[in-house]
Amino acid sequence: MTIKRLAAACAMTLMALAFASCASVNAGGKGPASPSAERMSMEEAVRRAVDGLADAYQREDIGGFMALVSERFTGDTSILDSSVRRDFSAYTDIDIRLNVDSVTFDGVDRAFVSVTFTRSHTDTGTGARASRSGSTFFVFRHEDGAWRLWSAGVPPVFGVSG
Amino acid sequence: MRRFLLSVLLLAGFAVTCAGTAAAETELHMSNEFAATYNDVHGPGSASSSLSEGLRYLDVLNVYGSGTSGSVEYLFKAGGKATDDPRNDVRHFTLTNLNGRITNKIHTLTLGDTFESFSQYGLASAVKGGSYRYADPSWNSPEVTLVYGMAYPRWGNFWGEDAVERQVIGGRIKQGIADGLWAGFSGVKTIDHVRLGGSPLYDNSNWTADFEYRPIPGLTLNGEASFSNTDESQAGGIDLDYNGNAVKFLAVGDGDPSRVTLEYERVSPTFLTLAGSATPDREKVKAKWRYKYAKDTTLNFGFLWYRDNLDGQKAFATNHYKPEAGITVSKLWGRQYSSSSLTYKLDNSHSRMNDTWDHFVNLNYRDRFGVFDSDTNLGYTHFDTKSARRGGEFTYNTSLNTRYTAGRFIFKPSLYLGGWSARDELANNNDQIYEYSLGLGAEVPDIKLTANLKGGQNRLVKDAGTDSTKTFASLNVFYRPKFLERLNQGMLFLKASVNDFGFSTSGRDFRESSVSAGINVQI
Repeated sequence: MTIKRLAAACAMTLMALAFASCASVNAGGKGPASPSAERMSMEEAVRRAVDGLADAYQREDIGGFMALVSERFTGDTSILDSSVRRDFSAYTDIDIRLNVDSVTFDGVDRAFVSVTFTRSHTDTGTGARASRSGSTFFVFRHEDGAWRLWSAGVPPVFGVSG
Repeated sequence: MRRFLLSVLLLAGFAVTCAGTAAAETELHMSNEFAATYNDVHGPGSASSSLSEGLRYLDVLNVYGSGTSGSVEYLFKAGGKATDDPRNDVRHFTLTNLNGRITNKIHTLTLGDTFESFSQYGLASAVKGGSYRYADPSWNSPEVTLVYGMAYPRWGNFWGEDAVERQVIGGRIKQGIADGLWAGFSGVKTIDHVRLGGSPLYDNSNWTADFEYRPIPGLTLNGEASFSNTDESQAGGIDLDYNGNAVKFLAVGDGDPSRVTLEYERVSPTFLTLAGSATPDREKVKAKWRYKYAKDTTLNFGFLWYRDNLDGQKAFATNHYKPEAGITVSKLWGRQYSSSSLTYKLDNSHSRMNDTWDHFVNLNYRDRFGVFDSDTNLGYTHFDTKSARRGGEFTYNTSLNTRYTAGRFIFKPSLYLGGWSARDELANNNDQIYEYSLGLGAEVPDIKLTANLKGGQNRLVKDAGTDSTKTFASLNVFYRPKFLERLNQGMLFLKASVNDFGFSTSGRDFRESSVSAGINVQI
């Protein structure tokens, strides 16, 4: 416990030092083209892609969902397509909430996204309501001007019925 | 102690980096969203709700900074989340993002959240650590990347939140060989240190070569081959040592009117990548062809085959065949706003013990009729799994939307009707879902106010088993007041929803209500 508190205190102090040492700060910046504004804008685009996936999935719109998946999806688009279709058959009243915790870019064309999720659904086989929470990650790839799902971590949020 | 030292070193690195750029002018941006939510859940089945009861808050703060100091550019980001809702996070305060990058366009140093994607098999996930990249575009020098860090999902794992302590060390060299041709070679080592919940510990080395070649405009060839060596230590004291390999080749031809993709992949059963992405025990062949037949007509064809049991260790292999075809036509029958698509997909899995034939047919039609925009979907799925499942599912839904302007107000009413019908021939059951909802959107552009009101019901009616009904209503209001204009798109929002779940089995009913108010600002 002492070590943990010491670690937390060190972390907070060093963070404060880091920010305090950034002298001559220009809040708001010079305009939307600056690297930090561009980074914020890219993150918003990735967050919109994450929201778009959740929205299409909740509406059980297979076409809208797969339009946000890269054709180079590492688990294969066709296999994901079949799994998501089976989800739509197995579940109804799907509710998915995705909180994006962090977005990290590789500086080329990919973004690593950590999310906390809660998914609920009614099982069409049993009629029972189920809910599950957890953390997972997605990797998005920038293709033809849009961010598309390139890889998905475990536990899966989409395509859970096999 | 190892993770504590790394966290202190990383933060010290940030402090030193930032202090080094203190003389420069730093530009800061910030985004913050705060929401206070009150959730009420009651009823005998309230344990099935996904809401946490009571008054809860969530605040997400992100700070972005960038600047230059001489020839050096730097960029950093820090983010945090505070909440008392365990559905948002198990911790009250979480450091979500800490990342800094400093570069002079040739040498680039990244600290904190670091994502270097070497290749699919090699390294395709982020670490908390750092990386160094050398790339000089002024001459044909190799691009060299070194990365080190912990594959932790959260910063909290450094100070108390349990997770497998997975160290990642990697390097990559990429060289342009000729015009349109490059090749890369990478090595990634991942070492697990602390066993968690009886999970196995891995010591994995991964060596990967990859390339891309564009011999002529429109044709791209790329691929990668990887070899892995893994020492696995199981909780029961059993130690395993195995090697595996993976290879992938992709050819894409893209030139009007066709786009053709051919892909081959083979991943051996004992191939393991802990920092990359691969499905072991799979051999796959895939082909896709998109053909623009006419200005308004596009045809799509695809075929996927894959199998397992590559080393013959399983009792039998399963082969999967997934052909698909589709046609998309716009301006059908000369209608300016019409668009329709028809798709067919077969999902066949075949083995000595099992044989599955699932057929999926979908038809979509969008059009505008007078002042109404319509979107209609019809789908039929036939499931046939030998001795286990045989039946069909029919899905149908249509939505109508329109827009009506009255002075300074814009109204957007909408109607949704849908259903699902499933017939199980073996169980002799027929289940139905009925869905209907009404919505009303409203906008007042001059005061930047948007609102959406929606209500409806979904009913699951089963021949055998539990019926359920969900009656729902929601209201979302977004307002960008003048006093928040200086905060770059500052926005106030109010979200309210009620979901009432009723089940034919007693003890499952519950109602969840949620009201959330918040503010989003960007500086």
